[in-house]
Amino acid sequence: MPDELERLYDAHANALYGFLLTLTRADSESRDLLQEVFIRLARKPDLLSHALDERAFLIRMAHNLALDSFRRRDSRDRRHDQLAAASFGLFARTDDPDETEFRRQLAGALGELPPEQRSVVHLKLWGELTFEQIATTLDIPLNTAASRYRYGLDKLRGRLRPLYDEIKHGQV
Amino acid sequence: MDKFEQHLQRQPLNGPPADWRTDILEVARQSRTGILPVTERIAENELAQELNATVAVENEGPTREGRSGDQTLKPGWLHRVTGRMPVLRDLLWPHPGAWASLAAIWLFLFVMQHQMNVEIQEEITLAGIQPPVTDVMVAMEQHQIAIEQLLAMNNFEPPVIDRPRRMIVSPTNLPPLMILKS
Repeated sequence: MPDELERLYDAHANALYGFLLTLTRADSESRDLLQEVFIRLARKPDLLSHALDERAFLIRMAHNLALDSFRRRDSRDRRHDQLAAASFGLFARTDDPDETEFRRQLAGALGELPPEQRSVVHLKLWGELTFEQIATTLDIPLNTAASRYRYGLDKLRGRLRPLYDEIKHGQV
Repeated sequence: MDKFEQHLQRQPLNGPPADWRTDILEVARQSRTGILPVTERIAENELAQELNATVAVENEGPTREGRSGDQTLKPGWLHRVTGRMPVLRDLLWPHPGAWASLAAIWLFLFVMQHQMNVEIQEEITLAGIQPPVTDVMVAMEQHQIAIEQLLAMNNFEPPVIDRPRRMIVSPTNLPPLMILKS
């Protein structure tokens, strides 16, 4: 029978990893932060006892850890990460060459967004949270969450729309 | 949500590699007791070597060594100290070894300075040189004794000096002739 830590990992590790990978754009850093989340859970087993929403609580914890990590890094490291951003594997592989190209460009376009827009876009599209839940999770006003999503999505649209239209046109 | 957003939403995300699960959960469980697994220990040693710092490695003893495949070691003293005090850890992060080295250098300089002061004092004593402060102290003591002796004399009375009355010169107390002359 799995213990509580295993249950939490199986229930939330995928979502946390995707969110951390979107934020950090680095596999190794995502792993460190994911590990740190579970170390904290192991040290304080009652951490989640008062949480209304486990997933939101854990995403918030991961978000705060990622921000701390960003502060520790200097600008040289950040530039290095931006240069290496296109190579990280956020999206699953596919046999369809059009979709492969779209996912590659989507990953690159996400990397060009500021982290605060990136996190909101990720939680809205792939975390399937409402703006209200995102605002609570990231501790930002509701309007800020909505506007960050709109700005982020507009940038993605501007970057990916030609390819998207091409793919849709080819399917028709 | 328009079709473009729906298309984005349909892009599947990768999950964490399967072998992470065991490692992450093991490290998390080990952290409950404050003992790091051997992989963490190796990483810490590598960092210590880079910083030319000495990290103390303590073996757990025969009971732990007896376990098959579970060779865990205690973390270094610096890691244990900073791990128990988050404020200290944040302050010293990311190079606690460098901070410790700096503190050791300061301590060394302090000890050296103290040692040099002691040696100089010994040299002065051996050479018989009295510091000027001692001379002043002796002179002041002799002076104080002399004053006490003078005050102790019974027939000593301070001389009475008649102070001449000051004459106020003003036009009203001058003779009329002098007023005219001036």
